[in-house]
Amino acid sequence: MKKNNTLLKNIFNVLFPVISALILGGIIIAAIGENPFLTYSVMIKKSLFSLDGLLKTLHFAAPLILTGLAIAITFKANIFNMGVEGQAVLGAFFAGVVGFTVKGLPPVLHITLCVLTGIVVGMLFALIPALLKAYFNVNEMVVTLMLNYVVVEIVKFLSQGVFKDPASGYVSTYPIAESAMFKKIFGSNLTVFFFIALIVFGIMYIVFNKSKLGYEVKAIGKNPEFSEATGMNVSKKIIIIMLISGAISGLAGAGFLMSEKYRFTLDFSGSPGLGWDGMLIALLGSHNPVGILVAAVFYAALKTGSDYIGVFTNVPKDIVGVIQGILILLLSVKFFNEKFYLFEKVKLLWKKSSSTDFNK
Amino acid sequence: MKKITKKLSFLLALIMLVSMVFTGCSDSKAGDSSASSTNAANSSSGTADLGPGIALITSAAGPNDKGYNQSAIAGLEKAKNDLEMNYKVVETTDIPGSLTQLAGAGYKLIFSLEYNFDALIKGVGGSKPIAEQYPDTTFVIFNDNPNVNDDGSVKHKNVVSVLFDVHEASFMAGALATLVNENAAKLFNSADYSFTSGDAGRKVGFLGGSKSNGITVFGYGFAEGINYVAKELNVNYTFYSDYNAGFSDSAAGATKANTYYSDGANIVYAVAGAVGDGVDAKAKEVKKLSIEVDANKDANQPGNILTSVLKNTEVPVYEIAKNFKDNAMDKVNGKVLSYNLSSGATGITDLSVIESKITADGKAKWDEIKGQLQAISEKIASGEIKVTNAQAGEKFEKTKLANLKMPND
Repeated sequence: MKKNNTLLKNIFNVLFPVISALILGGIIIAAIGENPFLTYSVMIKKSLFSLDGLLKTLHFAAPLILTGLAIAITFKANIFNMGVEGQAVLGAFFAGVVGFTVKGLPPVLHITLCVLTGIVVGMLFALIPALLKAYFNVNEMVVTLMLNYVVVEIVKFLSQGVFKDPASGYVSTYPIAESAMFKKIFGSNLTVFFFIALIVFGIMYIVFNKSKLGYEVKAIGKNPEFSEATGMNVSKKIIIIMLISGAISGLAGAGFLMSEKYRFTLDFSGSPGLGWDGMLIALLGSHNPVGILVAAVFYAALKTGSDYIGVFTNVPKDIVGVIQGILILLLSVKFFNEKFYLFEKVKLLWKKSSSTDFNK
Repeated sequence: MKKITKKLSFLLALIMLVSMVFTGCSDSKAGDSSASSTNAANSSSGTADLGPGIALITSAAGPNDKGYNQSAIAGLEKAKNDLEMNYKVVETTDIPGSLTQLAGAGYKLIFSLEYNFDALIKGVGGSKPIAEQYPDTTFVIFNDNPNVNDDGSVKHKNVVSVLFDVHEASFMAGALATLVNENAAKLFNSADYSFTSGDAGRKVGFLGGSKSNGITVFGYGFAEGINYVAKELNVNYTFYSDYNAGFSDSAAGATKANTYYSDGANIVYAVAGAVGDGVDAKAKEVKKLSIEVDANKDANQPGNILTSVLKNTEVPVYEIAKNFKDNAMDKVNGKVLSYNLSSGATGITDLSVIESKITADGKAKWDEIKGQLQAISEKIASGEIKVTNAQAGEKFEKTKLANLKMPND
């Protein structure tokens, strides 16, 4: 009975912000004189209930699943890796560099090489805040957050300089070689990258729920001092957690480049970037792998749906940005509530004020 | 008592919310029926091969950028009024996806103002190029011509490339800037402006959004224009440039422009989208001049914007739409449409806004300058003056500019 209750609560936790955001978005759509039901039905039908659209949604969900997982594993350990965005972008950039400099390899080998490059670069870049956190207790949130800006400048410098495609009118590197591209399956948007993401999801599911590491992550998240006292090497574990996070982020970026963008441009990660979307997804999925999978698909459906809205209705695609914004707002309330028991405090205040009323 | 008011206000808020939702519903139903009726009207009025109309994909700057995109949409609006064509403007981050969607939805003429041609022209990830998948649809792309094979032949018959000779327009702006700078004391009222005079003022600033061919083409043309006039007058100029201004941060643009102005530059030219707004505002503040780009923005800060270098997308959009309506797409299909100074799609503005600030004593000099500009534009047209076109891959050699120092290019 109790388990049933928590399940219901979980479902409610995910559905409540989503539905509220959709309702509020619907009011805005109605306010600009368009039909919210038509808009939403276009969005959902095209992005989830048509084969083409569904495959496209899954295609866009792949990197989001990964960045969501990358964030969840650190957040669960109460380490705030805000650098997933930077790790993904840097991983993508160097995967791209390998993609166009190395030539003449068979596709399988070339793709593997690019993906590994992305993973290694992501890990190396995550190692900086990890070492600082583990051995010097430097606040990882600040370091990872700031390193994102460093990445922006590094890739800008490199893609305007050495790796610039001189034939291109805008800032971009060379396109990656044909052999480094994930092939589209049966002419749809879906590529093997989605299945790689699913495999990583499976591994992470086991790590989270069945492995010693997953248990340790939880323990460190609850109380690092206690974990240390019970004999865990917390510093080492923090480094491992950050490396895993960096590796998954790098993979997310590399895969996105090799299955969708094919060349690195300054707007590669979009706005908000893959990493920031991943953060929202991790929050929406309550840092739980299955939740993240569902949230990533939902979020990708919003993203692909926004393009369909632009084509098939007169609602500007910015409406999806509004819905995402409301979603972030609602989720942050939920996040704060979990951290600081906001609702309980409000309830207490309510009770207090009403009880004083009675006394009067 | 307090409790009751609280509950009451909550109830009121709830009622308001619910009523809003319901008005939304009723509204939307009306909207729905009208939408379907217009749809029906569309399909009955248009002939079969024209499809649902013309589609346009904006660049990242969006449809309200007061320039590049907005001019193109103005062209569509004109087509709608004159030719009774319907159009659809799409803002997206997924260019290939939207191209496929629009072509699949039956649009037969699609403009794409954003770069990103790989999926359209070459095909990516093992799939066929979009242009090949939809042979009946004409795709119009801007600022680049990727639609060629290695041997120079046309790749896809249904792709049109539109190029603007903005290097020539920028050259004109450079020439104008130098001529005005040399004669600023005569032309303008000294109370309204505070120009740096003499050698200290022989400096010009340039802000570019990114170090890419689409931007450097403006900077190089501008530099060559300055050098051309400086050589004639036998003076030396310094050209400050920054190609990392981005396209959105107007405050940072104002700061950067200020460093140029306070170093003695009298004119700063920004080819960086919204960053230009900050430069214009700073020009007004320090009583100097700026140069704008894309659309005619001379009136944004009247008297402080010397001119705008036009890249008027309205002209090609309307012309192609007209061909489309007349069933004469053969005229443009597979071609590279190049718009030069005489086409009116590019060039500098008619200078009417800045002219109102010219003093009575300066009128004669001003007319002389305009005459010189006219002569320069004729020389460009005749090929006597050759301007480097970075967009077409031509190499810029700054060592050839004997009268211009470019310390940070």
